[in-house]
Amino acid sequence: MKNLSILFFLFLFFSIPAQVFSQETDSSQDGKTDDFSPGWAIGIKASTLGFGGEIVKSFNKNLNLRLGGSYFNQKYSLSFADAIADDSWTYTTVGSVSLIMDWHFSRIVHLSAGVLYNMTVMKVEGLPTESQHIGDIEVTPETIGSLTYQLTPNEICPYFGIGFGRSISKNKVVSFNFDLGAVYQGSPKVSLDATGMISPTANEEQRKLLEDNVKDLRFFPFLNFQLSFKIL
Amino acid sequence: MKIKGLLSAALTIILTLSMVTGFDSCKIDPMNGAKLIINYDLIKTFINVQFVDATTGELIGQTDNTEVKVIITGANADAVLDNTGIKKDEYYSTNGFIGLALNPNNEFVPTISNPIKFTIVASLDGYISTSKGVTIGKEGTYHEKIVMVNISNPPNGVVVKEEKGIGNLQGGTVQEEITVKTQNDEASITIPAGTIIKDGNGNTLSGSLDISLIYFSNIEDESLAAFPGGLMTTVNQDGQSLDGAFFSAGFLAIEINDANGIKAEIFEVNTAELKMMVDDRTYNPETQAQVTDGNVVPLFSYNTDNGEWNFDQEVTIEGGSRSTYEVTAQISHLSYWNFDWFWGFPCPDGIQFLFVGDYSACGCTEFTGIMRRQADNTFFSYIYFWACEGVPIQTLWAPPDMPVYIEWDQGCSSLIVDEDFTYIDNLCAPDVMEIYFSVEGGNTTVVSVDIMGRCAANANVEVRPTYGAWYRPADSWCWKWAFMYAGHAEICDVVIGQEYVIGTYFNGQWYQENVIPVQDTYIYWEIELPDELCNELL
Repeated sequence: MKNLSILFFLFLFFSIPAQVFSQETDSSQDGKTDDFSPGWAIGIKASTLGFGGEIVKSFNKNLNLRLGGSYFNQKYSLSFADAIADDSWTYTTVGSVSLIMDWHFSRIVHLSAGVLYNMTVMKVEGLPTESQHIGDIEVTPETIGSLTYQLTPNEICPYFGIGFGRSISKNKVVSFNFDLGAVYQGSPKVSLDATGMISPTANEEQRKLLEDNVKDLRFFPFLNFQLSFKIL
Repeated sequence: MKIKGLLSAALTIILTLSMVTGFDSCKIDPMNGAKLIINYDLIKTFINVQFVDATTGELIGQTDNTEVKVIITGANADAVLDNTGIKKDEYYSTNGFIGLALNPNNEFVPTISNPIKFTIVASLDGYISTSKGVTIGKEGTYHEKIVMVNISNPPNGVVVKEEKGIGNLQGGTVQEEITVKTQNDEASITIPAGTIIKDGNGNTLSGSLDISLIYFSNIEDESLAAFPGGLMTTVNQDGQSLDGAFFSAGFLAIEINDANGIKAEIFEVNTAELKMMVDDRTYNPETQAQVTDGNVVPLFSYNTDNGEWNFDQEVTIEGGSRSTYEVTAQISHLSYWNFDWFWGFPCPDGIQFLFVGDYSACGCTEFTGIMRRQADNTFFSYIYFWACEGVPIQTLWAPPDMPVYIEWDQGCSSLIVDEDFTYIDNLCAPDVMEIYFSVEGGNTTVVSVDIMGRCAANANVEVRPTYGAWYRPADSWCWKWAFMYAGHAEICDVVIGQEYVIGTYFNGQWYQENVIPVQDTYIYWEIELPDELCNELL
C-alpha cells in the first residue's frame, strides 16, 4: 500500500505541470474559454483501485459519463515475518470496471455516482521454506503447513463522490480530474485456509469470527487522479 | 519454531491495510479473538510405560509422588524422546506412567530391516533397578509394563537377604571369608579371604560391607514378571549381538557397598563363588524336558550401559544338598547374574492376530493378557494389543518354535475375549489368527474427550496433542488406553453411571479427572502446557 501511495504522488507530480501547460497552450492558441462542444475523451488514471483508463462521453456541459477500468496487483514480502517463515507474503489485488456519471454543478466541481465491478482481493499467505526444530524433531515446511487469509468485498458496488476538474474538457484537448469518494463494498467475505500442523486453525468458527471482525469495513475510500484527452 | 508469528504477520498486514482502506479501521482489529490452532501430531511412534510394584500389582506412585527415574541406553538411545518430542538425559514417571516416543526424523524411522533398539533402565530408591529392552520395527503405539521389586516387600518368588556391616576389608583385601545366603539357601555368595574388591574405577573398598543378595525364582509369575531385563532380550555371545528369549533357571542380583558407599564391581586375586538352587520344575529347552543333574546352563551377566546380557560361562547343574538341584559359578565381577538357556533368532514378522467382534462404536480397543510358555506354563511376558476393526496385528521379533498361550485379562473391560486362553504353536507362522470377542455387561457408551493444551505466555495459541488417554473405573486400577488424535479421543466401552478416572501423561506431568458417563458424554479438558514445551513450540 505504501508503494501504491508513492505511485500516486509520482503521478500527481508529473501530471499537474502537464495539465497546466496544456491549458496555457490551449488558451494562447484560440482564446476560447466557456464554449461547449459535446464529445468523447480517453483518459488515464491512477486511483486507489489501481491504474487504468477511461472513455468519457459528455452529453452537455454539466453531464459526463465515464466507463473505465483499473487494475493493480502487488506482492509484498514481509521482513518482520522472515524470522518465523522464510517467506510470508501478502498479495493485494485492486481493480474495477466502473460506470460513473458526473454532474457538474459548478465550473470545476462535480458530484459523481455510479457502479463498479470490484475486483479487489486482499490475500495474506504465510509459507515457511526452511525446516524448523521442536526439540530434537526436525519439522519440514510441508509439515508445518501454510496459512492463507483472504478478504473479498462484494463484486457489484455503488459509488458516490465529489470531483474537482473535468474528465472531459468543455473546449480544450487536455483536462484533469480528481475524485474523492467511497465505494460501498459491503461487509467483506473472509476465507481462511491452512495446511499441515496448523490446519485446524482454518475452521468455520474461526472464519466466522474473522469475518465478523471486518464486517464494518463496508466502505472503500476512492481517490482518483485522471488525465483526459478529448478526441472527438 | 515461531509459528505464532504467522498470526502476528497476518494481524499486522491486515491492520495496516485496513487502516488505509477502511474508514472505521482504527476501531477494527481483524484478528481479534482469533487463535492459532496447532495439530501436534509430529510423533508417529509412542512407547507407553507403566511401572508396577511386583508385590502389590499397583502402579508405583499412583497414590503418592514417587517417581521412577528412567534413562535410555542402547544402540538407538538417541532416537528416544519424551512424548512431547523433547529429549532428556533422565525421565521421571508420574503416577506410574511415562510416555516416550521415537524421534520421527528420517534416520530414526523404524523398519523391519532396520529396527530401533534401546533399553529402558529404571531405578528407584528401595527397589531393585531393572531394565527392559525394546525393539521397534514399525511405527505405532507400544505398551510396556516394567515390574519392579520393592526390596523391603518382595513378591512371591523373590527372596531378599540383606547383611549390613559384614566382614572387614583392609587395603581393599578381605580379611576373613564372607558368606551371605538367603534364608532357605536359595542362593549364596562366598568371598574368600585375600580377595581384593574394587569399584568400577579401580578404587578399593574398605571397612565393613553391606551386601544385598536377591534371588528370583524361575517358576513364580511375580518373580518372572520382575526379572530385570525381561525374558525377551539381547545377548552378546561369541562376539555377536543376538536377540532372543530366555528360558530361565534362576536369577541373582547382588549389590555390595562399603561403609563409604563405594559400590563393588571387581574381584581380584580370588573369585567369588555363587551358588543357586535350581527348581526341579525348571524346563530345559535344549533337552525339552525338566532339568536333571548334568545339564549345562549358560550364565550371563548384565551390562547396565546398554541393557544387554553378556555370556560369561557355562555351569553344570548338580544335585543339591538342600534342594534337588543347584548350580555353582565362580565370578570375577559383580552384576546381575542370569542362569538361562538362550532361545535366539526371532522372526522379524510373525503371526498376525485379527480381533473379530462388536467394537461398540469404537474402531479400536485394547486387549491385554499374559503370554505363557506351553512347555512349562511359566510367565513369558505381558502382552498388549491395540486392536482396530478389520486390521490384523502382526507379531514382531517373536521367538520361533516356542509354543505359547495367551491368558486374557477379562476383568477390566466390557469387551471379553470368547476364550480365556488362546494357544499359539508357532509365533512365527505366516498365519492370521482370529480372536473373537463379545460385549458383556451392556449399557455402555462412548465418551468423547477433547484435550486442548495452552501456553500461559500466549492464550491465542492452542495445541491439540496426538497421544492417548488412560482410563479406569474409579474403584479399579486396571488402566486402559484410548488413542487420541489431534486432541480428540473416543473411549468406547465405559459403563453409563459408573465413575471413571481419565488421565494422560504429557511432558512429565500427569493430568487426571473423574467423570461419571451418561449417554453421549463429552469432556472438554484444557491443560496448561509446561513452559519447556511452549518455548520450543512458540
